[in-house]
Amino acid sequence: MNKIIIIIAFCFPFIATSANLDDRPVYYGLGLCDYPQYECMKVTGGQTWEKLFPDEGQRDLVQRVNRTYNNLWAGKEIVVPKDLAHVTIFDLSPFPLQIADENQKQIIVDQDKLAWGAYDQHGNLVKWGPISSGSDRCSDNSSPTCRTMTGIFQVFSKENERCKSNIFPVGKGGAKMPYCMYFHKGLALHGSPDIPGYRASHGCVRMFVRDAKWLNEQWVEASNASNNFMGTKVIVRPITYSGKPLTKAQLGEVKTHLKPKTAWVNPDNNFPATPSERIQ
Amino acid sequence: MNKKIMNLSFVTLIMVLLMQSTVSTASQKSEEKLKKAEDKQQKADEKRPLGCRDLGYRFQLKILELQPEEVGEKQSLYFIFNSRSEPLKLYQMLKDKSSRSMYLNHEIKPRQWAVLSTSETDLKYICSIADAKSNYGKIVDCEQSLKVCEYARVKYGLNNKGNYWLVKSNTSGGAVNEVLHYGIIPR
Repeated sequence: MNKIIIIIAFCFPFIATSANLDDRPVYYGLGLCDYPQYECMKVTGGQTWEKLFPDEGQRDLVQRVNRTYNNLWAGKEIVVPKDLAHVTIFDLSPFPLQIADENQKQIIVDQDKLAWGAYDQHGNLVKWGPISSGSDRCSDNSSPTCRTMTGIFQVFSKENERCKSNIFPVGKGGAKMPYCMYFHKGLALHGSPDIPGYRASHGCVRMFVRDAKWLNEQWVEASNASNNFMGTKVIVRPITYSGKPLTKAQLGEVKTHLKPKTAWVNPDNNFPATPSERIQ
Repeated sequence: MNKKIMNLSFVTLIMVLLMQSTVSTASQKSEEKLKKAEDKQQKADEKRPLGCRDLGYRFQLKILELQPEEVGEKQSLYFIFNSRSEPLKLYQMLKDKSSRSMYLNHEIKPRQWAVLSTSETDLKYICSIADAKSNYGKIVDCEQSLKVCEYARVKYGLNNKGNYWLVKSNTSGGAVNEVLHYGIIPR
C-alpha cells in the first residue's frame, strides 16, 4: 500500500503538469507564426499596444490578427504582418471577400477562426473582427459546457452600451454586455473589454467594443414589423478544430492573398484560416 | 434413529429443491415481465409523438429530404428517430457552393429521437454509421434507418426561432419535454 502511495506521489507532479498543458489556452495568432507573411515577437516589460504600434490603424490590424486587445505582458508572444504599413483589414481577412448572393445581410460567426464577418445583401464582406465565444468548460461550473449554440438565427433584440446580463454572474446578473444584439434566447453578440484570443465566454459571442458599436448602430436590424420580424441573420458555425496549433509540416502549402493593395480581388484565393483549409 | 434422521434429511432436501424451482420460476417470470415491459416501452418510444404528423419529408436515393415549406409555415419542428441499434450520423448536403457553409450535421444515439428546428426550405441529409475504414463512416439508407415526423404549426417565440438541433438524443417523451421546456409549443 505504501509503495502505491509513493508511486502516486512521485507521478503526481507529472500528471498535474500534463493536465496543465492540456488546459493552457491556445492563442489564435500564434498559429500564424509559421507563415512567411507574418513574424512573431515576444513582448518585453513595459511594452504596450500603444507603445509598440503608435499608429491607431496599424494597432487595430495587429489586434485583429491576434484576436485580442487585452493588455500585453512581458513574455506574451504576438504575431505581426510583415507588410503592416500597406495591408488593409481585407488583406488580413479570415473570410472570403465575396460569397454567393443571399439577398440578405448576414453575420457569420466562425468559432474556429475566432472571427465574425458581416456580409451585405450582395455577398460582399463589409467588415470583420475577432470574437471570443463560449468556452468548453464554464469557469463557474454553472453548466457542463459553455459552448455557444451553433445554427442559423436572427437578431430579435438589441440594446445600447448600457446592456447588462440578467444571468451572469450567476445568481445576481449585472455583467456588462455593451451594444448587445440577442440572436437566440439569452445568447447575444456584444462588446467586451476581455477578448483574450481564445474561447472564454459563458456562451455569448464577445467582440471588440468598437466592433459591437458599429454592428449595433450601423449594421444589425432587430426583428420588427417593418422587416416582417426577420432580423439580421446570424450564422454560428460549429467548432471543428481542436485548438491545438499545427506544425508547418502539417499545414502544408499555404495559399494567401496577403499582398499589398489587393483587397477585394480573387475571392477564391483567401487566406485559409482553419486547418482543414490550410491543408491543401 | 439413524433411519429417522435419513428420512428427515431426505424430506428437507426435497423441500429445498421444490423451493428453489419455485423461486427460479418466479424469477424467470419476473424477468420475462421486465423484458415485456421494456419491449412495450421501446415500442412506445418508437411511436411518433402525439400530434407529430407524417409529412414534410421524403426519402429519395437513400437520402432524407426535409421540405417544411410543404405546409406553408416559416418554422417547423422535425422529430427524427434513429431506429438502428448503433449511433447514426446525419450529414447535411448543400445544394451548391453555399455562402453559409454551415452544416447542421448531427449524430443520433441508437433508438433515440432528435429534434431539428428549421426555417430552411429544402434540407437534404445523408445517413451514415461508424466504419473503421473511413472517417466519414459507411453510408446507409436513411429510409431503413429513420422515422421522421413534423410539427408543422409550432408556436415559437421571437427568441427561439432559427435552424438548430434542439434535442440531441432523447426518448420520445423526453424530447417533447425538452421542446416544451425550451418555450416552444409543438402542435
